[in-house]
Amino acid sequence: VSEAPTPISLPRDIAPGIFWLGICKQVPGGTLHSYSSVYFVVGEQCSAIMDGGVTGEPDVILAQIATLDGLDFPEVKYVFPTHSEAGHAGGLGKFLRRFPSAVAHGDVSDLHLVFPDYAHRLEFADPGERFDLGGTEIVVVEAVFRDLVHSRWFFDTKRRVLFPGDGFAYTHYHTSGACGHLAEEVPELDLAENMATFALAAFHWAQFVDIEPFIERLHDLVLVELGAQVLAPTHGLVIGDPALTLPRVWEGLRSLKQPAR
Amino acid sequence: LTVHDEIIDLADGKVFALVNVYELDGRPSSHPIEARGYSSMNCYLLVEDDRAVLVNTGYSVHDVALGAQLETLVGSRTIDLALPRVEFPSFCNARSIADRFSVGVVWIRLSYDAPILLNFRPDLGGPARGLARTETRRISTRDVIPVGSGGRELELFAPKLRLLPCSWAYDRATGTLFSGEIFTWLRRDKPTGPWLTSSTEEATTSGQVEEFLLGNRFWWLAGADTDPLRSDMAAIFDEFDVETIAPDHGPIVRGRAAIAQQLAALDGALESAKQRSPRGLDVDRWRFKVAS
Repeated sequence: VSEAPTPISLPRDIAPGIFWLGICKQVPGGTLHSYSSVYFVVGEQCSAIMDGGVTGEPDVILAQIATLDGLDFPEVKYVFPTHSEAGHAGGLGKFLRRFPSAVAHGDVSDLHLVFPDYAHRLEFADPGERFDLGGTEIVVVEAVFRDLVHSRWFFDTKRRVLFPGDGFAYTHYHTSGACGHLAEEVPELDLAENMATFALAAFHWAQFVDIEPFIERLHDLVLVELGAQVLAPTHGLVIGDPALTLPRVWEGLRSLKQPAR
Repeated sequence: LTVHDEIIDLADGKVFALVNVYELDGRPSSHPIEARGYSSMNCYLLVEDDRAVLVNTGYSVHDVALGAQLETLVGSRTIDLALPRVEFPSFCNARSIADRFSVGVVWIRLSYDAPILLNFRPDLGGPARGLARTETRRISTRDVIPVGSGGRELELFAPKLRLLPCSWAYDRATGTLFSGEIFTWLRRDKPTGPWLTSSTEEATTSGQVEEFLLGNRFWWLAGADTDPLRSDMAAIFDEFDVETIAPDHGPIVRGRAAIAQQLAALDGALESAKQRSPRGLDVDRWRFKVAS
């Protein structure tokens, strides 16, 4: 039996110049934990914040970014919200205030009503659009697994990291020491069960549809078309070996059952 | 961005709709991006002699108007905030309301305390002193929020027809059903409304409702197993004697004939959606900039 790992506090680098930010939150009523992560991406010319954060954490995220100052990262010019839900765009106003040159690109539905002082710095982005950070690009990718219809995913071309927002969302058990680890570093992680737990709560729609086409498209996009080496989701542990771990993700998605009302 | 606001008394001083209008220009997530005209952000104030409950706190852009609306209604009462969605229509003005009025309990769905979860607006500086004085309670699947000390209750439950985690609520004292993101398809050509309708002349068809649902938040209904959703919706209207449907957005529907018409249109839309080909992956090819 493998020994449980020791929880790791964030920030943590998950690829050269890419940092995982956020805090592990206990789900009410148990030892389950979940993240609403944000990622900080450093290019040669400018930096970017991936996803917009939950409303409860912008001050934490900005404090964590401040701890990266020793890296002398270039100016933050982009924030990329995957969609306009309060769990994914809640920090956007404070991020835009802190980084006055930054513009948000992604699904910015409603956000002119939420952050009206920054409406001129909110831009919708469509799949295929590219943003140059210097030495790497952020490409806007279709959001295969989503809730809000105009959700967007983002891909770092140099480090081949996919930022899938609500994709690959799953809880973990604090008692297994999983916090801050990659999925592959936690022997006790029952990823399929934890994915089903999260999906039943947050992706209610998935119980009523044929999930197989989504799995097929996710497989092709992540492993074949993008060749992603790291998956950096908002709500799950980072996946450091997609080819190894994704079959457990598919198992979780297939296990969804309709709960009683 | 604040184009019109009004207060509508829905039940002889027991429930007020605090209506704040916004333009449909492709950007609001409440409607398909092709929709034009006006919709509204509706917050609802349930009033008793000693206390009030506010359902939703609306968008930031309506902060001043909403504060003025509350000022005319609240008096010296303490307000409890019921935030049934995990989305901005529930969240945005909670802090400014707590800074200005006496707020008691904040009912939320996420695992944060209210002073942390709801202190996200960059235009509101400093600590959230008003929210710091409140008590946070978490909404569970079926819950009851007391409205005053006289036994009136707001009954919360989760409908099967939903996108994100949310609760609907029923106020038995007035027959008002707070339906969140559903029954939000009616819109207006003018910002002045009307924002309350009791007419069956809205001429809402199941085709219009289906187009509304599939064109935005309920993209996943095409080809989905909608039978459980239809039976659940029917069960809700069997269980609760609904005299008024009070949605988060758009005109409020009052009267049994008008409600029956809207419910039939929804049921027809769900029945038709099941027959369609799934479009869950086609949605990925929708382009905001082209469509808008």
